Amino acid sequence: MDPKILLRKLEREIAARKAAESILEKKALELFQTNEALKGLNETLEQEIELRTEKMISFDKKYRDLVETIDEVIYHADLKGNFIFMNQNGPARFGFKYEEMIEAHYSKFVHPDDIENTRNFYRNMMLEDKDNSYLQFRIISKDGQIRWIGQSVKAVREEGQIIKFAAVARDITERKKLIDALNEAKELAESAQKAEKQFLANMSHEIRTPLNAIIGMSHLLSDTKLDIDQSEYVDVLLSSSTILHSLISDVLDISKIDAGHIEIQEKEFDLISLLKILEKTFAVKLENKAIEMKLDIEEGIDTMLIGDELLLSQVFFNLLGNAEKFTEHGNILLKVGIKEHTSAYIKINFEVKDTGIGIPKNKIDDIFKKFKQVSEDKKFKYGGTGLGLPITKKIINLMGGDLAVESIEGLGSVFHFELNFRNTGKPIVSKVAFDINSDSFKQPTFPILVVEDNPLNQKYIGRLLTKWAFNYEFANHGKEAIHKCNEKEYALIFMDIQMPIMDGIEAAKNIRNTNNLNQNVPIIALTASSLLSIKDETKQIGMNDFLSKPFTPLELQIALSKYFATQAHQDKAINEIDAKFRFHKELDQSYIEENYGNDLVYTLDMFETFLDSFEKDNAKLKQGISDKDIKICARYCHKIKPMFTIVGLDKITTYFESLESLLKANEWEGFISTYNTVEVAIIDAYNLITKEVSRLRKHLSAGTVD
Amino acid sequence: MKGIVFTEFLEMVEKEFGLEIADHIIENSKLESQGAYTAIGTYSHDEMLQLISNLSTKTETDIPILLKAFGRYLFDTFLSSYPGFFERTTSAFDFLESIENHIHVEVRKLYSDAELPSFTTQRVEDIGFEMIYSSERKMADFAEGLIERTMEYYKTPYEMKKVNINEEGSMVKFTIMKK
Repeated sequence: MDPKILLRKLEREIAARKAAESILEKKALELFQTNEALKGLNETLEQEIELRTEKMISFDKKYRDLVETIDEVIYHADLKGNFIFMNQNGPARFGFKYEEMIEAHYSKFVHPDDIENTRNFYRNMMLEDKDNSYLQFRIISKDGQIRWIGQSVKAVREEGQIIKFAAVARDITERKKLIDALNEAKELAESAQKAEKQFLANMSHEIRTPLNAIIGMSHLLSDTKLDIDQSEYVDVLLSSSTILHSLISDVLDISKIDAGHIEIQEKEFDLISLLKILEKTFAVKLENKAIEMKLDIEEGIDTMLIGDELLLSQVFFNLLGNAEKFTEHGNILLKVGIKEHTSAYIKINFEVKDTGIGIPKNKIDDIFKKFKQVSEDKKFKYGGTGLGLPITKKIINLMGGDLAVESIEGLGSVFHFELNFRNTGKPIVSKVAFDINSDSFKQPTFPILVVEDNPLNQKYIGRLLTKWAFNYEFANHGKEAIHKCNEKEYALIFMDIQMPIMDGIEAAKNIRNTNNLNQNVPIIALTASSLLSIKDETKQIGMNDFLSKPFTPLELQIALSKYFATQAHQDKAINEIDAKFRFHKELDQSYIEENYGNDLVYTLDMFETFLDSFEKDNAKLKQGISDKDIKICARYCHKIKPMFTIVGLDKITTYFESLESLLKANEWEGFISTYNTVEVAIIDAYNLITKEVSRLRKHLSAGTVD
Repeated sequence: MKGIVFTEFLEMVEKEFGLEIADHIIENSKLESQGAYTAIGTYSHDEMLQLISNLSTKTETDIPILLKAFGRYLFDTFLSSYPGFFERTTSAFDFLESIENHIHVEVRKLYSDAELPSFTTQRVEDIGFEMIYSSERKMADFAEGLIERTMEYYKTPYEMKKVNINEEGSMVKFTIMKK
């Protein structure tokens, strides 16, 4: 072998060794440097640890200070309920030493009555796996005092499992006392408020009931044969009890308005007829005085309006009553003017003008203030509570207007206000003028039911109904009324509200909502409660009207006249009918004549009632047919059956007779096929009556034939 | 390229072809290192290409055959010099997987600048094995030799298929099936 090759190899190996040494040296240097750097890093780390430790110590001290100075007991309890950590000062707040509490079981300190609760509290936290919870309980301090504790507890977990509880417990004894005191005060206040309400309601009832008897009996007494002295005594009796009545009403009303218990109930009403009734009512009241009642309505109010008719009529009663009180002679004028008239609303200005004593200039601001009257001597002379005008003003405010007055002392006063009414656009169906002077009513087929527990009131109403030749029956309470309503039909029901066994509200609800002979009969509530408050409830349950007790014979007469035609207008109607109106030839003329005595208003009312009832009952019958409910079908066939006779279509009644007898014989198929055959005739008959009703309405409002 | 590759290569050349041939290929290459290689040094890949190319010319043997032989040789070197590589492996597939997952990791700890080929592996049931060689050095033949020797060492009869994934041969897939 060429030694040169070996030499070269050797040289290369030497060079490689040197290179390796140099690399290793370099590596060693790197290593050294890295080591130095690590040392430095180590030092920095040590410094940092020292700093952090210091910080932690100071932080820990802060925490400890916080834990020890805080006004709460902070503790950890293990799952058995032993305290495993507690702030040093915590136990001191309850007179215990730290050593006494740490490692002790909580139940040693808890009030015996609360141990069960406390145990359940912790148990629930575990069972329901809760993280946070709050509990109030009592403990007994070292000196035997009961202290209330409120504690927030947090579950401390390790790998999801609760391992102990951390809690902050605070002495809430003082706060608890305060809350108890507040609650007590609240309850007291609430019960006082409740008692006040109850007192008002009771007072209303308790005072009005005997007053009703006094006023009623005085009226009856004045109708008997009395000598001059006796008659004078009765007059005083009447006027005093009437004053007492209005006084009580005013006090109750103002307290209700003040308490915000009065709400506006807007519905469709006929302003013109309201005004006309007021005119007539006051004309009768003023008969014995040298005062004339005048009503002046600007032409143009010919549609039904939306408003609170009841509150409005109370306003007029108050203002007209006020005018009457302070006027000796001359006239009282109720003037009604249209300020704005659109299809959407009508703005109306009302004026009550009297020729009375007037109001002195310096007193004019006082008259709307509660319990203020112009002067003490006038109070003595004219009586009253001084609440009438403030009430009236407040009611007008509620309706969106304002009452103002102009007056010249000695010449008279004008009270005026403006109100906006929404306009329905529906024409007023004018009623035949109501004649208050007629003492005679067109007698209904059925008697009137008077539901009233007070025998004196029974006697009073009874006498008046007898006077007007009504047949009537009494029920002594709601339950008896319901029983009677199931037995026979009545023309109208007077329903007292407060009665033993079952009150009038309950009874009326029952009559309205259950299937009985009088489900749709007018019900007039008789109530000793204040006029303004009871209306909501009676209207809501479907009662038609109400009379506030004590009522005068006139008021009862007005109420009745809404449902029964008076003889006077009946006569007028007869003339008109004979002259002008002819029923459709399909209708049984002789039956109508015999039963409605040619009273078109009454006939219209009956026909309208027919449409109403038939629509309702026919809908139920149809439902029964689609449900294949033989019982329901039988019931409504029976109900509808007599209706067509009433409108002079006896033929249709015979259809329903057959339908009913088929159902009674369980002949469903036969019933269906018969029904399908006669259905067209029934619908034709219904349409015919609908047409007749609209013809009648037109005739009555226009006084012409079609 | 790590020095150990050069030292082992030259050692193989000396053993298989003699000192003269080793000297010849060094002398006939233009080497920056002058052929003085130390296992812990790092040298240009170009030097390896020159050495192999000269060896091929001198011995009239194709480069792939030489590379394959080198692969086989290196396995045996590992076996004697680095028994630690084999402590945890009991089968050929285990060892092939450990090249990427264990050996290369260890190499990188010592030489952070080492440029290593990548071997991504995937077993197909228990009998099949896929290995993708990926390196800009394009020395898949070397890898083939290494795989062959591994299979032999673990006494695993097999069939092997070698497919170039790209044209230049920087990515090559080996599919090995046990027989």
